[in-house]
Amino acid sequence: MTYRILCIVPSLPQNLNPKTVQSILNQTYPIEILAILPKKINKPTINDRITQVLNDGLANINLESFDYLLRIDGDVTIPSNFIEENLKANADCCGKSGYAMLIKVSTFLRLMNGRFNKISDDTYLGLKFMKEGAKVVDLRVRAEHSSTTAHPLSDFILRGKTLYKVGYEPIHMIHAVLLHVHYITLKDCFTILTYFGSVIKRIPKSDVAGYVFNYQIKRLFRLRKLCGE
Amino acid sequence: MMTTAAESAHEDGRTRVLCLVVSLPQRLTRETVWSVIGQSIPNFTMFLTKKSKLPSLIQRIADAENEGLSHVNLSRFDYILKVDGDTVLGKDFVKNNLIGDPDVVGGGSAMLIKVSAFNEVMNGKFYAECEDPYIRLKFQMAHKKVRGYRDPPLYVGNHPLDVRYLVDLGWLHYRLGWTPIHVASKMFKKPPDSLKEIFIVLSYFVACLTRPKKMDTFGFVRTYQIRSLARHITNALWRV
Repeated sequence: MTYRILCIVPSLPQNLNPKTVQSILNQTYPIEILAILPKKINKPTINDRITQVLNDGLANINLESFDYLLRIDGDVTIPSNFIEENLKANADCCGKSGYAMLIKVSTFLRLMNGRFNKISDDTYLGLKFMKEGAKVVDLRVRAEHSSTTAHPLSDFILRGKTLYKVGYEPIHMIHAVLLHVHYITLKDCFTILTYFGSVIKRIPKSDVAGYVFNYQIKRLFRLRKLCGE
Repeated sequence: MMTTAAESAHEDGRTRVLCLVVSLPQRLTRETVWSVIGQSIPNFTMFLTKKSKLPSLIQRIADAENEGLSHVNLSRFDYILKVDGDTVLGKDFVKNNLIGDPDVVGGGSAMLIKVSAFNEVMNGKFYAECEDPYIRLKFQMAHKKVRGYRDPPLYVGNHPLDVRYLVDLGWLHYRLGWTPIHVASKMFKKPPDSLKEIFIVLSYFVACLTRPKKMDTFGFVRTYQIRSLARHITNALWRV
């Protein structure tokens, strides 16, 4: 069976890596359409901006006519067998972070109504899929992130809030902040501080928060048992 | 100078442009990508790079464009910008060429088409057997504003001409309604890029003999070209 793949790249022209487009077009499993979304949005947070760009872009497209949606950041390059290998997983969502995700359109339409969530376009999607019992797996072939621009402090603060909103418990949050970066910067502390600030302020959580919290607690207990054995 | 509502929409960047770039991945140049997504009037850019199995290049392009349009909600756009994968546009290409609120601008390597007129004249689809020349002629027939570039592309790719493509082109000229004199004069107006271009003339004359199905533009083009010939001859005689 041949899958119809739509690739979307939300990126301003100045942030688009020349190799990104080339790496998408050089795939061994060809894509149907590559859509670049260079729209500039005046919104305070990066999540709001990216989500709106993606949703505005998707509003122009008849999503039903595709099987998979490949969502890639403008500073990411993918190996030539990226789509081919990740399709073999036959998952509803391949990739748990937004820089490169291969999403099954039918599931995306069913669970997300064909729109990204404004809390977080990537983290929320993966968690929502998991909550609803969809198959979410890690990428079988990794993409390469080549961003040279430093993220502003506001992005780190927002990340703390987002992790709280989607239901991360503190240990997983610290794990996500400290272990998923190449080197820890002072700015990462702001993510942790904002997370705890959100706990104190009790800002409203998203619909996946309960599921994520329980899931992570269960994981911790499983880990404790394993350590005990 | 007075500006119309449409022109002020172009200037404010409220005009919604759908950009279609049809190209094979190896033909698509980096400069084209940048020139398209970096337009001063932001657009929604789609790169259509999938290989088609249709025999002729003209059909393959039209097929890819129609395929692209079938995935898009065309009603959300005001203009379609059709660009070849090896054409580089200036930053203000769209903005400058939309001055005067035209229905069609340019042709070949880069073309701007007003969506409302496109829906009205072409029923929202590119003609499967012919591309740019047909669009321009159809719009002219419907008395739409068809114009050349105000701001031409900065660079147009110059790839080797395929004989099959040239043969199709000659055939197409006949079907569109070109007169033999116009076909020949087009070839000899400027020095031909390659001797291969003679295939256009040859296949045109073969088409004259085999009489393939004419397009609906035939009568319009023939009349227009004969009139223009008559005008030229009269002017020449007048000068003598």
